[in-house]
Amino acid sequence: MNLDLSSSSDSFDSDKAQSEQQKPVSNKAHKAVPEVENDKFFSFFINDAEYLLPVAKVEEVTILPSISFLPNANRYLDGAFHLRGSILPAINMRKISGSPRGEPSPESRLIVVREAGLDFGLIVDRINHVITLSADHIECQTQSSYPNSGNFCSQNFKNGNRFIGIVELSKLLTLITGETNLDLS
Amino acid sequence: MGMDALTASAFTALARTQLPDLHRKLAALAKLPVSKREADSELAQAVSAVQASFFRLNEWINGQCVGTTPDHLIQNEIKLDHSQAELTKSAEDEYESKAATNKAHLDSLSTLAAELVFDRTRFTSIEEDIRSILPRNIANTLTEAIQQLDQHTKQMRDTVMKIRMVPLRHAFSRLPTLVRELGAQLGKDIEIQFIGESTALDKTMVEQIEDPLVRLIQNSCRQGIETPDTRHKVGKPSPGLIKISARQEGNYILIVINDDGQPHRDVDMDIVQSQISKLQGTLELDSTQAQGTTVTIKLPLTLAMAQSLLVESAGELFAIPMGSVIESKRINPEEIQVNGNTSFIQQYDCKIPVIYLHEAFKLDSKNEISWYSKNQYQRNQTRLQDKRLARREDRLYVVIIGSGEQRFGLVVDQVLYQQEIAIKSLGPILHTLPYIAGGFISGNGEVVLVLDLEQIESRFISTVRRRAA
Repeated sequence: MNLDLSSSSDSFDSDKAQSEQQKPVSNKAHKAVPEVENDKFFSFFINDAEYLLPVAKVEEVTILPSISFLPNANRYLDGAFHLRGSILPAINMRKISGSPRGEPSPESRLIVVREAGLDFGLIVDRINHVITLSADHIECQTQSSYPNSGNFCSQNFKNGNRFIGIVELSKLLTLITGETNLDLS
Repeated sequence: MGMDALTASAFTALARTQLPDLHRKLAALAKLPVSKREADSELAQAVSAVQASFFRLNEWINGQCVGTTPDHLIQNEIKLDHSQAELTKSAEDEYESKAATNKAHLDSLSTLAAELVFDRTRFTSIEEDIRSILPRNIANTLTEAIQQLDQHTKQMRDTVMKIRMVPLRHAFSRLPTLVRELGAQLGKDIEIQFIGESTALDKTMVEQIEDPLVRLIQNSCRQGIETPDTRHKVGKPSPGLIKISARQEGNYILIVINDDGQPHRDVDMDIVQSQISKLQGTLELDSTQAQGTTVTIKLPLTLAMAQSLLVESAGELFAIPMGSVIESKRINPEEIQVNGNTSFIQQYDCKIPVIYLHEAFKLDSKNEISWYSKNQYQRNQTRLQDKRLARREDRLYVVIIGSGEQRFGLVVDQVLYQQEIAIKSLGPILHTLPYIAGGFISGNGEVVLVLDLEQIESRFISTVRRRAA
């Protein structure tokens, strides 16, 4: 740290040069400088298991709106809701993770997310808080709380003995657009 | 249109007067025991959300709306086109930026109105929750205030929707001049005729259909209509005729462009095709020696207002576009005859195949499929929903659908009412959903699906007809 208060423009330049040299170093020491938005994760619960979502992907969190049944839709979709004039699908996160059936409660929330320009909602049982993680906290592992979590989480955040799945929205999208219940017999 | 803007403004002002009243109720609520505070804070949040929406809305209306409604806007745009040569470049730029701003404001007004309806829905549900814990006189005035807010919000939303709708006439207005000028240039005598100009479409749709129309009309003038000499030789009247007609048919708006000239291949057709595709529409071309060329543009009702019949089956609401409804009536279940795996009703001397909507859509198993859908959720909260869930086995309704001779019936539990709705697309993830043409957002914030009758007919009814034939 240069504490010279009378520093001229010359010394300012040299400071800058110095900090540029240090840049790769400070990038490695990611932990100390969590300034990147991508490091922030939104934590929520499916049944009693915690999951994380990159904050940058979250558009809005609301109380459970009125969800209309969608006949013949993909089985992970519980219905459609509207947000500011758009009609969007809502994913039943319990069903898609293979967790037991749940009922709506006052703590249930809808997380509206955006992936690949598409907006959709995730029905979750509880929301928690925003946490900041650094890259070395994240492990590529497929250990998961519910049988099918591995289908949409390929990375985990290791917290002591607990593994918290990081939700990959692109995988969720594939799961909800891949199949339908359409009976064409 | 100016009136609509003023009405919207008046509704906002009225609705805003309800807010101080709600604030007083909040103050009363604050005196309640702490255990009841959780509901309070949600109410407080809802109040401020509604208030914020109103403020933004009012600001917009005061600042921008009056005198520059879309109707004027489009008129001015047309004038601008006509006198473009006389305008200086700078004035033109200034105008265009103002038009763009107004369009953006209109879009944001629509969004705000939708948000307000949503806020109001939250209010109503909070009111249901806290009503029982409030002293009766406070509860009653609260209900009253919310009901008023409710009504004004609805009226305002409807008004805003109407502002967005403009007659197709606006997309036609440049065409007579175009035809006259081209006729003079090509030495041809051409007349143009319009039918169904008042068919209403969302402003955006009307704006975007104009260019493809211009291209098609240019083709008809240049390649279709012959010179008076040629027409005389083949026994056609000397003036060539181009007819443009627009009408609503089922879930679609049809625009038919017909010329009585010679068959022609159109240039720029790929451009027109892609412009129509962008609007989710289709284009059909039919050239015959005798009748000239007919181009049919089929646009979905996605953005358009449509009169719809609301029906209920197994507790779910659905909308049926009125354009295809012949009649709806109450029937006894015994009137439905079963023959193998097909059902019929007898009407006069013909058998009309029918399907049960709840069977086609597997609505009876919806609670196994959907754990959080509205009835599941609201059944716990309101008694009103239970009424909708009950199916009366002794009383059914059939909605007879058809075009021309081909008819079929949809059996539902209730026929509720008719409503003018703005059909929205279900968006990129849901647009492949079978048998559904789109959805609309009802007054209480629910998404209601609009049936795609053509798809239902071809999936469930065509096989029955083939078997019967």
